[in-house]
Amino acid sequence: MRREKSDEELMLRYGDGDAGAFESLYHRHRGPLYRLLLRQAGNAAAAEELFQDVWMRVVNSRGHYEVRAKFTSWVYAIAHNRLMDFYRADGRATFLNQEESEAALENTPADEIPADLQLERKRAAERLLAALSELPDAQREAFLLQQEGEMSLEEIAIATGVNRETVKSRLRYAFAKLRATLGKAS
Amino acid sequence: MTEPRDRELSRIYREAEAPEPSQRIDDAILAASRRAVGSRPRSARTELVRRSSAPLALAATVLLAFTLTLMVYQELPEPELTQFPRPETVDTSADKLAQSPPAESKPAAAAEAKRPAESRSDTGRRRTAEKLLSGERASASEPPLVRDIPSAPQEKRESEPMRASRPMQPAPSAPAPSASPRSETTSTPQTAGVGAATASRFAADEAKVRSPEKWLEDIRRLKSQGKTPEAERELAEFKKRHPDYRLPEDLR
Repeated sequence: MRREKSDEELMLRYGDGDAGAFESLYHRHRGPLYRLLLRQAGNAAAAEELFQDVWMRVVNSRGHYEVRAKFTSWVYAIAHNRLMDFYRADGRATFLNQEESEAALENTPADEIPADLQLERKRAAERLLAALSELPDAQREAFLLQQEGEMSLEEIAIATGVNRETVKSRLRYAFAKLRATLGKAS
Repeated sequence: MTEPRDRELSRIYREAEAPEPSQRIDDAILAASRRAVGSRPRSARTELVRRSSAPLALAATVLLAFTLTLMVYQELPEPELTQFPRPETVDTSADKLAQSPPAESKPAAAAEAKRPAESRSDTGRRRTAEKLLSGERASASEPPLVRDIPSAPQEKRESEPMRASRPMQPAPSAPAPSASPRSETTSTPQTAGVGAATASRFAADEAKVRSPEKWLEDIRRLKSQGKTPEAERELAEFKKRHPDYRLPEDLR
């Protein structure tokens, strides 16, 4: 049975001139990366521009790419940096100044998602996305990197340039707020 | 420490809408990625060249350095000759005067002139070494290498005692000796004019070596042998050289 090539191997092959390797890599990550950018930027036009920019940076880095971390950590770090630029240009400073509120956790009851929501999955997903868009940028990013990028705390920390505990804290706040929103909606 | 992960939220999120980039964006990015590879393809051959370029460059550098070193060694003169001055520069006419006795005969001078360059260079080296040694004794602070370069004042100093030993010789009016005696003795004249000039210069040199009495003796011998033109030429040269000398009756 043929082993599927890792992201890093594909990127190195692309560096060696294998255009097909890039295609495989692109198709593997295009959806999650696009959704992260779409949900972080808030509109499709900005997301497409950011998305194209991130991939072009990958293309241009092919000659000097070195395997220092996971490919996903590297690509999502590029995406994170582009989002920072986007926020600054957009006048959104919430990502940089956002303080996690202890009150949000205190007011969130545990296991509040009603059983009937499981029956209305579609509606629940729509509510979740709506609640997600209301999250602070950093918390939403941590949540999306975990869900879309399937990244560990360490990998998220590398991609976003913060320490592991900060990532952990952001995720906990994100979960609590999402649960609270879903619970209220029910 | 466990990672915070809400399975319920994850499940709901996965059931949510999952938008994807448009086909237009896909095509643009993939086309750009192919263009990048096409503009700078890294084929297996290129890769081989890239990997072997460093060892090849190193080998070429070593070869070049070796060749240059070999060429430099081949072009270098003998170490002895580079360390000592050439004999001509040391063996000035004043030096020659100091070495040769006043009564030295013409064949002896010719023999000296015919001596191979190597033996003369040995003499030159010996003299230089002697000078260096004497220089060290005379003045330890003076850089010895300075003595390797012959200078006019030094030549003058060395010729002073020679003049004192020959009171009849009026030195000031004498023409300065040629700087390169080797060129005089080894030159091969191609024409008669050049030959005459060389002979005249040789006679002038010889005049410095011979004493007036010896010279007059030679003139008398030429006369007695019937070589009147040569005798007259010698006499004229003698008069030019020693204008104050009272000529004997038979030669006036």
